[in-house]
Amino acid sequence: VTTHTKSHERRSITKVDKNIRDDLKNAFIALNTKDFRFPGKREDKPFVGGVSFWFKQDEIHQATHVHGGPAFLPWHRELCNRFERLLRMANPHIALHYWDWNEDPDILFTSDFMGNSNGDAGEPWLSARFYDPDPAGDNYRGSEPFDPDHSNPYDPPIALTRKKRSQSFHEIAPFSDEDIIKSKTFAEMRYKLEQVHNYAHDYIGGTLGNPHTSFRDPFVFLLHSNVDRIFGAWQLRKGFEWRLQPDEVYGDEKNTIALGSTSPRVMVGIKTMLSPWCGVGYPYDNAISPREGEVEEPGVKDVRPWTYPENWQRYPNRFPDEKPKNSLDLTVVKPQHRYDKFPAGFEYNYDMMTN
Amino acid sequence: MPILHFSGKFTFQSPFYNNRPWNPEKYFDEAIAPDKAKKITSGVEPLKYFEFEFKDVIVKKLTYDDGTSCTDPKEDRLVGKKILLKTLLVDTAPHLQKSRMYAGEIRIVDFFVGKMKLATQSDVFITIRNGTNDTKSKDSPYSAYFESDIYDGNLLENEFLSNRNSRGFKESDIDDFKIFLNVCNFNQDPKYLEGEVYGYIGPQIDEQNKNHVRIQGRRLLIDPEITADVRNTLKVDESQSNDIFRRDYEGTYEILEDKRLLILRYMNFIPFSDTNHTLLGDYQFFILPLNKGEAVTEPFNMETDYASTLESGGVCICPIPENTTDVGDLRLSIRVCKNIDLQPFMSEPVHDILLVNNQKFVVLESDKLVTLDCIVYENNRLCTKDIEIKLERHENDESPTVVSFTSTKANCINGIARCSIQARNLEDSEEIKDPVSGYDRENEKNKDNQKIKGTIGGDLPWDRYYGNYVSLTIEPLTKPIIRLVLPVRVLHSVQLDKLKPSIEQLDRGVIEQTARKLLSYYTRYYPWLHASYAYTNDIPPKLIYSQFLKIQEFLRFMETGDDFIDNSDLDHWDLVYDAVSKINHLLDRLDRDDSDWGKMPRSRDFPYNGVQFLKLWKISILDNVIKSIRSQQADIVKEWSSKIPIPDLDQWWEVQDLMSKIDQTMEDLPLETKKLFVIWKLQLIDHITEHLNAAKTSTKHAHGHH
Repeated sequence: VTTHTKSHERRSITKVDKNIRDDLKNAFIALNTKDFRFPGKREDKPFVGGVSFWFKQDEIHQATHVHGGPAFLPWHRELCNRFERLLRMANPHIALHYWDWNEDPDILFTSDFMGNSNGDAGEPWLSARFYDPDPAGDNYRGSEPFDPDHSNPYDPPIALTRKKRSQSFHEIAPFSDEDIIKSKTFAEMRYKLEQVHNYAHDYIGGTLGNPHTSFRDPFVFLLHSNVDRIFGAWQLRKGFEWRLQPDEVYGDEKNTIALGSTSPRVMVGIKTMLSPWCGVGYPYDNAISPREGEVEEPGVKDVRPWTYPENWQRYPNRFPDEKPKNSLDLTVVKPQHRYDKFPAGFEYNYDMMTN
Repeated sequence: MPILHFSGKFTFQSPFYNNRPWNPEKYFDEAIAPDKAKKITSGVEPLKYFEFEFKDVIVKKLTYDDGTSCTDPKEDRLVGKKILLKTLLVDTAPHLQKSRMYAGEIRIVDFFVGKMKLATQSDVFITIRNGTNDTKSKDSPYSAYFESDIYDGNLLENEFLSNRNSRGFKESDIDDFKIFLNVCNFNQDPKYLEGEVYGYIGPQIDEQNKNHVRIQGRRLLIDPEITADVRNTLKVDESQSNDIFRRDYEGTYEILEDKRLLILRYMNFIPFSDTNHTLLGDYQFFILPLNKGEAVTEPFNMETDYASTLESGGVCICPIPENTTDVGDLRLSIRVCKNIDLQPFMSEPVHDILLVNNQKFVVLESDKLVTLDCIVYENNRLCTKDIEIKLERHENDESPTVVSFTSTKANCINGIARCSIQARNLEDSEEIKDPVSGYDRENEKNKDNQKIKGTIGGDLPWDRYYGNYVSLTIEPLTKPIIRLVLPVRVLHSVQLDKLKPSIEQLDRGVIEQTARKLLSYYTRYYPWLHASYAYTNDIPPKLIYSQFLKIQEFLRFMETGDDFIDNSDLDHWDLVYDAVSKINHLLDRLDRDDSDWGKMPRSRDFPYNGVQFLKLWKISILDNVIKSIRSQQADIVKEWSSKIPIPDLDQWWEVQDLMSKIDQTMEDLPLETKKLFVIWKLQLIDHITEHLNAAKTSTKHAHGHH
């Protein structure tokens, strides 16, 4: 194991040494091996089991639809935090480093790190069965995300492609990092940041460009770690300490509840319980009426182990990290990880980062 | 399996906004903020149009296989579990309010998940007899039930619920669940849009047992021996209805033979004075089982007060009398008692009639005739007598009469009565009376002058809905009269055979006219359908409604010709792609199974051949494009074949040769030109890979001529 920074600090992936990249890549790969699978079997009913930690990320992302609304940032923060915990099961020294989209990512697209930037991703993901272009039978996840016959999250996707644009990202991004961090309200900031994030997905393109398949590409976590970094930067600006307070950070959007009922046409609110990790039917039992909006995301699909038969979220003593929560929970509001740097031009409370 | 009694609330997002045929067309408007839009739609959330959902519905009681029961969650952990049900509730037509539940998904937390088959609403009863109370002024007095089997069910045994802590779980069998739910007290106030639901989940029961005795859905109607006092106090009204809204009362029950229990569903015959479930009068209700017409057991006291109903889910379960050995001899009577004497109130009629498979609505294609098979029961056995059934059709205020029986009566033979209904040709109708044409908006407040009847004929407007009730009546010598009222919706039909040549030629006039007709019903009555939330690009961004299925825009494009692909556009592949995408966008919502949650709710009554028309149109566009490309290919061959040898791409070695030449040629070319060669090479690789793969299974081979 390579020597890492002392504090699981998330760092710019284009700036770290090759051995740190190797460790991160190897941890990704480990999460798609037999040692890192959730309980159950492929054929389990009613909910599929045995899914690798890596494929679980796509399953989670597809089971929900937390885009275009107030919970986009906190939900993806939770996803990244949880994924980083999984990575550390493969390598306890790992941090989920980020792709600073102001940096040219071309150096990342090599066969010993992120694979090709155009066409099939290739190595190292092909050998690690992150996708399988030539499946022996019919067990694969189709490139068409709504293909009901090829949607078992246990199976590898049939393709993992990219179509990276040739120009620099900052040439196409609708807002600069500075524009985002200068935003006065959460509503303004999260709207701008999500827009830029959308462009970043399209910038890499291919599997990552489709919101329903994007979490099949490991690059997605480098991108989302950066999204979380900029969200964190907005929160940690000096003089804006209220942005770390659950009651204040979300401003007018703090009491938003989920709108709509059918994915993908739902808009998840700040009070909505973070799904699928809260399961279905919160608060689960005996005539307890949940507080307004504190229910699972409408239309969410069940994802193990947060449903039958494991129900991890129902055992707070055994699985303290799985306690159901919404975006107002302090573990979501407060950045849980240290970043090496935030965009220039502002002063930050670096000391207020958790680690 | 045990009976799970439940009660709670439901929400329903009824798309009743502007769905009357005399209303002028209204339009979706993105500029109207969601809060204001919801005022227009009377509080209904357009994103949830047609959605029916349980809210705070709880398992309140269990009745076990031996008839004992449990209401305490400490004794059985299944008690108190939350029931989640979500389904699309779509009427047969806006004026034929026999609703159908589609695509239902049900879950009892920690117990099981499953799907619900199509459930059709019963007739509608008015059980609130003194109007509504002050606190909930928009409560409706109506009550109706749905009943359906559950499929794809899975038990969810876990630590929270298992054989160890739940006898109910232990007795459960996932293969045979069904759900019965009675809905009432719907509050149409935009703040609520919710009502109450009572019911149970229990075993599936066939309509008849092995001896052909009816054991499911037996009806109880007003007892002919009812006294004047009971009649007056309980506000009994036996007037006949020509639609599904009934003034009389009705109970139903079913028999669990193996458990020797019967389940009486009483919500549609216990009258209340108001929506707070205040009982009318001070009568107590009793079930009196009769064996061959004789009382053989003590009457069974029904507890119908509000608290008991919340617990029982509006059903009473009592044992079959011990000396009843054949349930064909069993009949029920409901008696009421004020002081000492039991007075007759409800009883089983001698006869009953229903459609085969208990079908409760009919949807019919224009100009088509369909045969209806009806089952006639006499004393819960197939009727062996030759009984005459009167067949009638009934007018209504929103559609001309477009369906009729082909005869005025039918006769029952061996328990089956067969009759036929004929739909009018909606595309070529003779002039007929129409309650909507000539409707006078100026005088709409003047009741006497509200609807000036006119006539319509020819190709009847496609933006209207058509249908009427028909009824089948048995009038026995003694009361009650038995009547089955069926809503029949008649749908327009695209004359595909006639139009096919024009569609294949991409005849804009024909295609535009047909598409406009097909979609006009949706744009006129459901302008807010297919909405989703979006944010504007303002800072701060504003939340708005956006329409994801832009039918109006689609039609406008066709009208202006900008988006319509005809034979002059075939070289514009971007336009072709766009047009095909737009058709696919519609097809995606239309061409799904009825049980698919993603199907456009109202497309369950899309005109006949409408989907086939859209598919044929799409195929015609693509066929014409392919034809055009082939023609260009022929031109290329014609122009060049005399000058250069054109390689045969079916010959592998020629492809290989070509690729080598590409490599040589592209070496010194500028980058942009190289790009073209790379694309060409990739295409050749795709082409040859396809051939090589095909060769794995093909036996095609070459013979030498040496």
